Amino acid sequence: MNIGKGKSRFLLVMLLAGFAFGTSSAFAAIDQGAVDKCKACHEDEVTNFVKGTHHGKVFAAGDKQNSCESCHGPGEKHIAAGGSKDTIIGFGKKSEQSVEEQSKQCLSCHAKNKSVAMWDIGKHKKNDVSCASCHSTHVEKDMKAPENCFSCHKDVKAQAKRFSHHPIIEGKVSCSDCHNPHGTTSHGMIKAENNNQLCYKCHADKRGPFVWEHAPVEENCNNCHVPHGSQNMKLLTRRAPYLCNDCHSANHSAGTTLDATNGFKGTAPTNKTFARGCINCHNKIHGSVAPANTNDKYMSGQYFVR
Amino acid sequence: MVAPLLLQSSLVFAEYKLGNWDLTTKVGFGAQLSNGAEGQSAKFAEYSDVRDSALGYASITGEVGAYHLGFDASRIGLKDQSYVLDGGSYGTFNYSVYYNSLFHKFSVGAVSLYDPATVGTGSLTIPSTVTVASPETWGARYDYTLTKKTYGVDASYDTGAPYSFGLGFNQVKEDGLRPLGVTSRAASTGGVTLPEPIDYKTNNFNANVGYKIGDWATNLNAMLSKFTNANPTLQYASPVAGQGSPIAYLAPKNDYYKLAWQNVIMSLPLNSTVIAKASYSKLSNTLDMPRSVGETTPGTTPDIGSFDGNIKYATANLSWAANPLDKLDTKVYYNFLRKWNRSTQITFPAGPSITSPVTNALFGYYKHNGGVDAGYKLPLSTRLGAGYEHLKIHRDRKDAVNTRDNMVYAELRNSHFDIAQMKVKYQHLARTGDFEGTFPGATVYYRSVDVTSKKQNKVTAGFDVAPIEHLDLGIEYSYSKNQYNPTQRLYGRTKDTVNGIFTDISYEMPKLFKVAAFAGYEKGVIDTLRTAGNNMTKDPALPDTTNAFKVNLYENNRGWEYGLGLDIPVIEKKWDVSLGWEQYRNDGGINFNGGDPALAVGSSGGPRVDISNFNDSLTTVVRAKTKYQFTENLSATANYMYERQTYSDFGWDGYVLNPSGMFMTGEYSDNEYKAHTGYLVAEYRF
Repeated sequence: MNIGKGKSRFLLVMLLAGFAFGTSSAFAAIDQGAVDKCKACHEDEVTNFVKGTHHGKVFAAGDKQNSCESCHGPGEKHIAAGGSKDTIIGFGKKSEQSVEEQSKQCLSCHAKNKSVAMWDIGKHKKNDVSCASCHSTHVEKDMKAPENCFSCHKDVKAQAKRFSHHPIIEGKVSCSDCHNPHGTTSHGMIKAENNNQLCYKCHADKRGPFVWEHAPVEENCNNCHVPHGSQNMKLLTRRAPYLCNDCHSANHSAGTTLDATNGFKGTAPTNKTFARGCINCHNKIHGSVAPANTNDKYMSGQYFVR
Repeated sequence: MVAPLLLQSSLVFAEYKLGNWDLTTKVGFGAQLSNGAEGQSAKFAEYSDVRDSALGYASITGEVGAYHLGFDASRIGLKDQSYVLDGGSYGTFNYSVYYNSLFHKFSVGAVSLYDPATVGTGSLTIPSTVTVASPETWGARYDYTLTKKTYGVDASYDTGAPYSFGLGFNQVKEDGLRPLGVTSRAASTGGVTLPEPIDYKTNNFNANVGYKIGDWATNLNAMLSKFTNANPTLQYASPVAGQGSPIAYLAPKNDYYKLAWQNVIMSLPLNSTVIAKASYSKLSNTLDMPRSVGETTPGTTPDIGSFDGNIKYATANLSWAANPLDKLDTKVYYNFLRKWNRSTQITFPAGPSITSPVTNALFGYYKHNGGVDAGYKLPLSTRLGAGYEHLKIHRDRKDAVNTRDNMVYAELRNSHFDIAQMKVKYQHLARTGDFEGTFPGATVYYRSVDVTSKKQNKVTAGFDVAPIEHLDLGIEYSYSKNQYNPTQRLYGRTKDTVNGIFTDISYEMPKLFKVAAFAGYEKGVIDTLRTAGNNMTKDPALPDTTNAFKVNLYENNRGWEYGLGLDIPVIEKKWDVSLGWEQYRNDGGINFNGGDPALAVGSSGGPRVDISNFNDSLTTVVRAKTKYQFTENLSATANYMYERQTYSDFGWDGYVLNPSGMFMTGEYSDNEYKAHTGYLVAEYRF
């Protein structure tokens, strides 16, 4: 194991301490009597629910108000009507209730959670996404799994599997690392004021400050990168040198429109198309702290070559 | 791509009692095997540690009343292992202690002319046994990989009202080697790829305090982040004779702090919510300012001693969301962002290579962004939405001071039928920019794609239907077109379009099988106007003349993905089998039109030669997985996967290590692989 023994011990101590801590009981066992009425018809649902994540906080001992009815509402009419859907609050696509009504049930407990403070302003609410669209109230679900988001964001799913991608499908970056699905005031519901502030959280080496800034880089990482995935290496929006030529048309390769003759096997090979193209030399494209050299521009930080 | 199949779900089912604790636990142990593709290609298991090794994972979750505790360990002992311990009391406090290791391979089996003993250090030397022009004498062999390890702890106290507190700290350590390209000083012909030693450390600390009473909540957050680089420079012996040992400057250290305030007021008149936010942050560093980079022809650098980086950001936001009518929802918002750059400004006197004095520009900008959204509920569960947004960016940048974006959109959604939902959205953006190919000092006719005027049209549409129980079908279409300043003829990008369609379908016969399929296709086309021979100094509106012909460049990329999956519960709750097949394909190319027909094809100024292989790749994945439940507590899972990737691109065809005076190391050239992998894991739940 690569973590040190000291850290392993620390984790073990924390684990044991956690067990030792929970000796009192704010909530006790499930009110089995209240649940049994529902279980008579919904055995699988109740069984799964008891094993899920909600029972510790919802069911208070002997308190019938905190049972299945806490979320589904009073069940008497539902039972009397022989189980018709319009007599009980349901969740998900087949619910008879509106998305607002469904989410209202969840928010009656969870509104105090800071992460949902901006639910009203977010795009998901506006687009009729309910809590149950993503969350499973009965069965524990891995909310960090990208499939939760991919079912609606099919284009992002395709991008995340492209030649160059963040490790999203590998499980090392989750959608919620960058986005708050419960709503933010930022575009794309990202967890920062703008793209660069978000990217710099992980890519601290790209923050600078630099002596030589590359303005489009500092203004918006997305000028050159596609965050979810790209067919171009390094998540680039376009392959170098053609990406660079989108702004630097007049520089360097101006008189020669680079084509198939300019690769390794071409009749006029050039380092401008080999492999990484411009990046072969201009690697400090995010910024440089080297001095300018007006006596030898090939050694100058001004051109991001060192 | 192999990793998702090796990841183990952390979901747990069995449970038992330990004192008052209601526990569910599972432990898995086994082995993973690979046929050796590891070491052949960085793209194989790019983010995963796949090698012949033991494989283990464990998880525990427990509850006693409101108290909860969880521990999850995955891929124990491997380079992509992770551990999380979290717990707390619902509605009162939570804590989390975590460790995560992220592994990223860039290239494996790199070859370099530098002394292997110096690779990974801040000073690269060339052994006397190496002939720089003969790669067969180059002795260094290494992998370009990075490992990022994050250790952290978070704790929060939040009972809902009135006060809440949170603290968090994490340390991120990143180490390994990354390819760094620098110039060789052989005029414009050469570059040298160096193994850049990475030894970063970032300490992040954050604290927040909140106050909530009724429908009003306010929160103050402070963040400190300190980034250090143990290798601020990399000195290397130049392989070009007479060029000495120049220095490359690596990622600079920095200190960052941020204060952010957030205020939410709910249940206001018109059933509205108001959000106000503001933040202030500062990024700074102090770096030694060298007078040269060790080159043989040093420049004249003022003796300023040090460079003081000083960048500040301020942001503000005001948003108001309301439901003034039962069927009407609205949102009005304004965002402001300002960047000040107060770093040291240095003027370097002119020299023979750069004939004018050079001063580092201090780039700052501000952004005003505001908009309004409205949605109205029509009959039959239909929602009509529309909105407008304005963005103005003002930059301290001489060639492109201002851009103004005006965007409008309209969308329609319907979910009237239980079995189907549909959506369609149209968006139009008009950008006007100061940058139109002419600015003070400009002598050329080209545009910068990020700041030039453009018109953009986007359409997205989606349809999800479940016509019968257990059958789900989804389809999504997207179209985007950018037309760059069509009224003025300039060199550079003229337009680009992207068309994409993505679909998935699944059908389940409960207790018998579940079959799922997906398919997607996307085509992107970029049109660019360039020249053959005239350095963009000739007005493109003028007719072509000898050695000054226009060239149209049409770049296209087509991507496909498709796959099938089948899950069979051979014996219900006893024996499951899962099979899958997927392919991901990209086919790109560039067609050229133009150039002087009187000149030889491919010559400077002459007609261009099309590029037929441009990011062409094909990845095939075949997988089979079976799980057998021996007892209620004991199960075994066997997984096999075959994966193959081919790659072809004109920039990598015929790759050699030292073409035309360059000195490369094979970085990013190892994209093809064929691999068989598998694992066998026994899992015990108790």
